Amino acid sequence: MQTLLKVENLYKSFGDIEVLHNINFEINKGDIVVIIGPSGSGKSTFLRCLNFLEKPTNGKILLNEKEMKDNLELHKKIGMVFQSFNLFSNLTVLENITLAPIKTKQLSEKEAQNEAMKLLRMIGLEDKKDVYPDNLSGGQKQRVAIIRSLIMNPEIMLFDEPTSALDPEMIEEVLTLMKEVAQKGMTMVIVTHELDFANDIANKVVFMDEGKIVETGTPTEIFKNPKTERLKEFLSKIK
Amino acid sequence: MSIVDSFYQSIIVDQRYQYILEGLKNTLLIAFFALFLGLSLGILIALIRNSYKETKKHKILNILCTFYVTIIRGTPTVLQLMIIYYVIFKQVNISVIFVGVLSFGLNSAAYVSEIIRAGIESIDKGQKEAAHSLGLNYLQLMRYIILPQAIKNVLPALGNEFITLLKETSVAGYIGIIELVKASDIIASNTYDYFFPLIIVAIIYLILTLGLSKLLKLLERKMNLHADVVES
Repeated sequence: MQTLLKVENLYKSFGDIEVLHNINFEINKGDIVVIIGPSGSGKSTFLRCLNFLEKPTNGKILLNEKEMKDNLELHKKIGMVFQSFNLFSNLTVLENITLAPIKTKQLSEKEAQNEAMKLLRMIGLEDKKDVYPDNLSGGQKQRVAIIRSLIMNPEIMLFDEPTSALDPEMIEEVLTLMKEVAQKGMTMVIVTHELDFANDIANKVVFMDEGKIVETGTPTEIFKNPKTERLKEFLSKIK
Repeated sequence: MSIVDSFYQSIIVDQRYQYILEGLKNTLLIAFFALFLGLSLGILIALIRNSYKETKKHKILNILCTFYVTIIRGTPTVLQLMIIYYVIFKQVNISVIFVGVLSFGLNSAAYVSEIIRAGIESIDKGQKEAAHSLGLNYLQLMRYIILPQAIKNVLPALGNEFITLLKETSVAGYIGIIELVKASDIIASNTYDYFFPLIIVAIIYLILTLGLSKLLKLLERKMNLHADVVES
């Protein structure tokens, strides 16, 4: 297995409060990593450090053995999907998807539009291309956000609680799309509270608590045979 | 003196209405160009101050901008006008209308920058993060995503500022520009009758400001068009 992303000695503090403590972590190409943990455990901060939405206080992030900085090269390679969708409200669905690839010169205008329409057809929303985000349901917004990230052809996609802001009946459509993306071989890192989904999709589960990685393993190891007390306690509270 | 006579004396005799037309022309000229200067410079100042806040870049520029806004907002417009004309451009042979445009534009920029800055800060952080994670840089983020939404949100406040600007140009007479108020003053000092010169100029201002707010309402409606579709 080829290591795609490597995190070395990552620390993050907000003022005096240390949120991440000495995180070391490796992701291989094609991995589906799910990060679980109680709220305040630092899992979202960890995810956000991977594409420099939070600037690490200390430590290195290596992509293909190259140390990454907060620049265009990094953002082309790492896509991100947010809890609150974060579609651009002043742009139509199609413009939302094509803006970044055109402005960062990843694709020509024509290529971007063709590619965007292909992706919109894939998620069955081609008839919404000229609609503004306000007119979409939560599930539709999140699916558009996913393909907006996909069009940049990233090597890794990060998902920060992608279904937490959704009404229950819309969660499934988003999870289904994520599974489709995973099946195409995308490397994914997902912070989620959907443990069944995690069990289903992940090949690696990370349990974080108090800013540290407490336990790492396959879904079976983590969910069926938790080793640490803290993970046992966490799982018992959730179930 | 009958009212008809008073009107005749104030407006018709010696083609005195010419003063009012000249005044209207200069008022509009100054207000129009000052508005554009104020808007462009105001957006620039807002961007510098916001980019410092978010990225800590351009520290010196940010200090200059903050200083500028403080000075402009803390001193009377008429004083700024007189300082620019009688102090800064004292030795220079320069069009007085140009000084008017410059002075009112610089003044308006300070207020516009604060309005735009509030607008930029009203946009939720999520869209900025999404743009960042997609590889868009600060200027692209502002140009394509934040400013269009920010300006739409603060359009009513901007409208107020434009109306204030239009009315403030009435002090341009202090440096010898014949704008509307100065025009009425010239007429009245010839006829010793203030009634019609003042009333007519007041009515002209009212028509101008009403027209301007109508225009802004139209713009507001146009910018909100896509939002209206949701409700219907």
